[in-house]
Amino acid sequence: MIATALAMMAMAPATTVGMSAREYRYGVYRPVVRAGTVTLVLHNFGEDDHDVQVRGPRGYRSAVSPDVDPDETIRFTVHLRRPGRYLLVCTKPGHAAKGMTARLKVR
Amino acid sequence: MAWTEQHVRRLFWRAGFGATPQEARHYARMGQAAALRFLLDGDGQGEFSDIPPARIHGQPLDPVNEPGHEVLWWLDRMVRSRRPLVEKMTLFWHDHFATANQDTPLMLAQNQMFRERALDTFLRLLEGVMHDPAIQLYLSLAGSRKTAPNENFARELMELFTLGSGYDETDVREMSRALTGWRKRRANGITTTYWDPNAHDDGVKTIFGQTGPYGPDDVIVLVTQHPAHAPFIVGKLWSFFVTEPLDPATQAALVATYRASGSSIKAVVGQILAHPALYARLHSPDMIKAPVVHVAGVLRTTQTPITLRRYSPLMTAMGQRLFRPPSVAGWDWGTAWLSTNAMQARVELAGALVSVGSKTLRVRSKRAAADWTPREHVDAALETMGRPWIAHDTRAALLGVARDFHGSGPTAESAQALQRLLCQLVVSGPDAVVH
Repeated sequence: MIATALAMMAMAPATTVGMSAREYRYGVYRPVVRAGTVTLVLHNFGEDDHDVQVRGPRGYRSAVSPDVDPDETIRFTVHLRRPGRYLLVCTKPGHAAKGMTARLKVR
Repeated sequence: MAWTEQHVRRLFWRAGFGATPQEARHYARMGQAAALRFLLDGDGQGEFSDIPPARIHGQPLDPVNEPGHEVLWWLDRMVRSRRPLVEKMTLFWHDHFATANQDTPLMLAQNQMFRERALDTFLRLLEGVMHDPAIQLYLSLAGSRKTAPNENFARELMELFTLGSGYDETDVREMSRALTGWRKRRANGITTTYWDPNAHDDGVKTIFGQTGPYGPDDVIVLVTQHPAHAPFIVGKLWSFFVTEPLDPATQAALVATYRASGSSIKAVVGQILAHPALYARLHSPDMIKAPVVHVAGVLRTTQTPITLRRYSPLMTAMGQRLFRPPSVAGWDWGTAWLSTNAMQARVELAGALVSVGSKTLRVRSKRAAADWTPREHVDAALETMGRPWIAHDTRAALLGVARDFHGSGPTAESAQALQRLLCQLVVSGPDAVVH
């Protein structure tokens, strides 16, 4: 049963979430997603490098995405299996403190 | 004026994205008035043609979340819409009120506003622009408050959007005060704008020598009543459709129509599209196609649905990235589209279309037989590509290619390859650059 569920999860297409980054805020174009594989597509409209890490229930921490340079776009896939409220955080020094976080709700 | 298929093709290219052979035949028979009625008012037969909607890797587009899909989404509308003039005017307003670097949902909302008001009155359009979050954020109107008015929007409103000249720095300062009051806030994951009366300067201002406690709605009226406005806007509309210079008598007639109709865009555009100057030099077109017009036109006139993601980067390589104009002044049109990179991208486009982009084209090229004459080959390729205009010299060059092929002992396979090559040359050749 677990194997079947895992296989289905593997087959399910990833939900794409368009995102923007600029100093010092994110835009999240799909703020509510279904639990499963989520691909964050982050475009940097700003002048500094940015990145994104997903933090969620029970201490969940994704890896940190690669840096996204100004006027570049990266795709970063995470597996958000638990419903709940997640936080998208830029890990560049000082960026989160200046407001570079955003919410993502997983249902 | 005699009314022929060539007139229909000129009109449909300038007012839209080309005519299919069927459209050219139909509206040549129906006459100019019917063709103009279709473009200005539609034919009431639904929103889209029979071309299937865009699909990438078999999936529908996700214009909000997938980068590049917003471009394909609009390109798809240009290819399939039964209101091509509305899409062409949406492109005109996208360039006129150029906005960039804003979140995709805001850019798509602005695009829809342009579409809905594309042929409305300029007053209604400007009202939509004034309340549009994307341009408010782009030109720092959002966040401009009575304690620190930002002059950016007021300056561009007069310089680029409505007047061009006829105002001074006092007008800029005072208008900036009148436009204070919009602020930023987060909503549904993105930053947007709202009106805050407490941030608005409700004091008395003097603009164009008139005094009052003006706000944003008053500014719209003031700029559109300014004597420089009507000549400015009809001149810009004229040069979007016509390469001939606007003579004083025609300008006066267009200004009179604009004012008498309460700033109706449709009335002015209708008058321009009916003007004989639009049909000048039918045998030597001289208006350079914008990249998106070229791509949408090739797809539309060959009835090809969008299945390739690469149309979006190819248009960028040609110099036009929709939703990302280079500055608030929009794109440089005309010869600016003829860079070496642009020409290379046009060749790549033709290759992509012929090899994988168009099923119709592949099927048609398979009809080619080894015993076709060079002339039959060239005629078939032109038919496949929607019978575009080509110069006599180009036709002679295509016949030369076909003759060379004939001399080398043709087979069915090589005849098909020749068809694909001729189609590719028609799309990427110099004649396809103009309309």
